[in-house]
Amino acid sequence: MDPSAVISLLLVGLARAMILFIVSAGLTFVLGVLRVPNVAHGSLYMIGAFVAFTIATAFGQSSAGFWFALILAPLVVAAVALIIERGLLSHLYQREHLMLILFTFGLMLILNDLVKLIWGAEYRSVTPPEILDGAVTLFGFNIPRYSLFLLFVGPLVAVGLWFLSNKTRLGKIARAASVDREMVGVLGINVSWVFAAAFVIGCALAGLGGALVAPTTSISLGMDLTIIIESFLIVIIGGLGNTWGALIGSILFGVSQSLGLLFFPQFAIAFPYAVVVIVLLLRPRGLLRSAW
Amino acid sequence: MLEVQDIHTYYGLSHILFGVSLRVERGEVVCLLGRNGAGKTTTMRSIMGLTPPRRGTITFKGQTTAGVPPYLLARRGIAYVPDDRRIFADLTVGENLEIAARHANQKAEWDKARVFELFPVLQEKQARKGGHLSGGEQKMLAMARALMTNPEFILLDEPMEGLAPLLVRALEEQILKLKQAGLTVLLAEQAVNSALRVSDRGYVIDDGHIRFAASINELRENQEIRSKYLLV
Repeated sequence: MDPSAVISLLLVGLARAMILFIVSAGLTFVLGVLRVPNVAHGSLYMIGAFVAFTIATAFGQSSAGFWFALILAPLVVAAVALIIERGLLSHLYQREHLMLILFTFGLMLILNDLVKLIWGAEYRSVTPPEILDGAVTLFGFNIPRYSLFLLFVGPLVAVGLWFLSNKTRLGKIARAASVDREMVGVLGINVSWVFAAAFVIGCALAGLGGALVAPTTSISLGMDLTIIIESFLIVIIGGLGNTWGALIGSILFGVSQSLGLLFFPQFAIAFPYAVVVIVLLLRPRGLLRSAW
Repeated sequence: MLEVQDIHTYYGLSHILFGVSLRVERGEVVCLLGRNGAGKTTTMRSIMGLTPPRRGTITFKGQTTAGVPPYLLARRGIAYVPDDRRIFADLTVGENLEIAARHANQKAEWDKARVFELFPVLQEKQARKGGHLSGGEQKMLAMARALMTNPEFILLDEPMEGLAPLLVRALEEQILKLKQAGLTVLLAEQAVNSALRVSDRGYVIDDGHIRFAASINELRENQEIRSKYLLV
């Protein structure tokens, strides 16, 4: 087997892992701060992709269209998330987890039907901008430019999230509220708005993931299902609520998928799930410290 | 400043407070003495709005607190230091203080520098995680954090509990300094002697009823009350 092909494939797997990371980082953030397992997270990712398609199409699928879509799609998803949080979710925080899962599950069904109503069942696509189209040869390896771009955006989001939770007042309050929301309220902080902000940020990451995946895949109904299952697994093997855990989990998942394709093509789909099982057997609470 | 009138508070179905009444004037240190399970913490939680009473009224600075969520009561000037400290373990000492910081209109504002003057240990351990402090240090941090909200009235729930005798002495000094700084204090305690040393007046609570309200001298001298309600 050609070693440079192996490395190229690994890099492509790593690039896909970055999208998984961005989406699961949002999921784990909401899980950590609000303690809400958001089953509708995948639907918000799908909405992000469809909105990206609409915006890109409005600009004639030009390069500028892609960049606008990349910026605006997460904002549109954030607006949807804000409506969901203020209108519905904020009244349910006191309920038990089962209720919250049922609620977000119902939300997923509703959002998916809305997507069907708005965009229909056809496959859609977004053209990558010229600068990210094609492949480059780096150190003798052939790598799609778009994969390189993802490998750049993923760590950027990780650093951004680290900065948000450790260096901003909102982040510090969110960390405190994830452990003891009552005490945060006693300090004169309106926890309700902190939760709204955390939910919106988490969901915006799903939207960003959707916008980023748009040029690499055909956008269609059902794309939410794979991602929500994968993200939940990543969040669980990484440690609930742990951003770095989500990063490690995504890399494990993405890279094992590539390795599976390479060495056991007939079992490729099962390969990352086998990795999940092994991790959970060894560390049932996840690789890094769980916030729960 | 605070007037609690005939409150009945429940945890779910269990009736904890039976018509508790007490008042605290501006600038006073008032203690609420009682054994474990007498209803001290529930009284504190009722005042802070965490477990609102089902019957009775609480007025703070002349306004009712009924239906007001804890974060708004905090903004009106009430601070609560719980007996189990409730430090944010994952946050550093500095971060624990920063998120609590709220500016006051008064001139002498509590900020990090000023709380470090009162609790110098905390300054040295600013970068340490709250969960890595000793029990005594966590108590200080809980008090410091409450002060950062610049309250007018502070609820101290068993601050002396579990402290070494030397630290208890230091804490008595610190409470007196809070009083000098113009704060009003309601102090729930089992450590009767310490509480009496810093307080102006006191109440004795038992089984969810206020049994006795008196000046410090009376509380000191009344052996019957002490043996009936306070000795463990």
